[in-house]
Amino acid sequence: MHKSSEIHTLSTQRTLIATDEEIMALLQGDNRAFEQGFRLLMSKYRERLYWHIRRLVQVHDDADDVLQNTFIKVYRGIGQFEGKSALFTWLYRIATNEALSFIQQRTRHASTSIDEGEFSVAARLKADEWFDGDAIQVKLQESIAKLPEKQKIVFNLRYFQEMPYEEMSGLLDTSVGALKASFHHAVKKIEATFER
Amino acid sequence: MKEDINSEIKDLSPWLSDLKSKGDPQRVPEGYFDQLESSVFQRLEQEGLRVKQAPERTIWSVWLTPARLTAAAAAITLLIGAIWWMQPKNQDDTLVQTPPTTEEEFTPEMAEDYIQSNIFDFEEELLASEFVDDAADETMSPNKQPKEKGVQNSSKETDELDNILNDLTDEELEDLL
Repeated sequence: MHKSSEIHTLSTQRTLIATDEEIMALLQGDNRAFEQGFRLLMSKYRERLYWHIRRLVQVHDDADDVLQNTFIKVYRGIGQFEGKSALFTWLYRIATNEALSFIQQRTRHASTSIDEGEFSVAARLKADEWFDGDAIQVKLQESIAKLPEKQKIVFNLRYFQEMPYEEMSGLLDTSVGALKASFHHAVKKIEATFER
Repeated sequence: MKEDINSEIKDLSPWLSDLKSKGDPQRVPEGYFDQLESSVFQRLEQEGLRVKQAPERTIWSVWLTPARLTAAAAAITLLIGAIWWMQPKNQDDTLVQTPPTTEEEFTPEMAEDYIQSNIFDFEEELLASEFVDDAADETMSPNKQPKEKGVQNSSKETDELDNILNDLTDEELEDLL
């Protein structure tokens, strides 16, 4: 079996049991260990990060680009991770920044474009072959996209990813009470959109 | 925990809860996560960021450092030199330089050769007595040490010597002496 295939197999097999400490130990080793550790990191967190990004950018191709950018930033910056927070928290912040930067660039690009409509949420979702939602689902996505950043993130984490407030609190460095309030406001704003 | 989340959403907005229960319209291409790794590494290669893999480290590659290779070569050279130095230069020289000292090493042929080549170094009486001994006891091993002449045997030996001398011709006696 080819060496990279062996490492890939090892990564796949060990993803379920690899702890953050084991991954970090590999990432601090020689080149070979580093690459193995990085593969384990990707295997362990790729799906959680993907869905976090996908809820923010909404379209699969965009989510794919942002996720790859996130992992490249992680690859370059893993040496700066000091372990003060959990590994996923660090990864999540990088992914969030990448996704928000992507959205800002897209918004700027849309505002200077002649046909601003092609950058609308509805247009992008219609063009996305990996979105099967009906008109209500499209409207829900449009409503979420209009929320302030913090409320958008809290709504996505709670509504789609069903993340407990306690975990979200550590991730966003925000109190549970403030998170509950944010989610409550987000739900009411979305409801108001549909009532119009 | 999941029930808590769903009940919270239902309390806040029943229709959002119903919408959620219809399923997630966002999908992912089949096998996307499996090929993600190779896509990321491909981009790392393209951007020149991927750290070169170190060659596979076998036991030999780990152990055989340049310093250890030099030390091993020196040790082997010294060992060969020591074996060569301790070996005798010539097998025949050994025989010449160290004459046999034990009965096992000193064969009858060797004794005869030695006597023949050094015949003039021996005293006549001794040669005569040895000759008598050989004739008297043909079974006597030549590599044995000469018997100690005992008082009891002296008269017998004298008689035998007389008999032998009587049997010898003058020419044989001259050759012998």
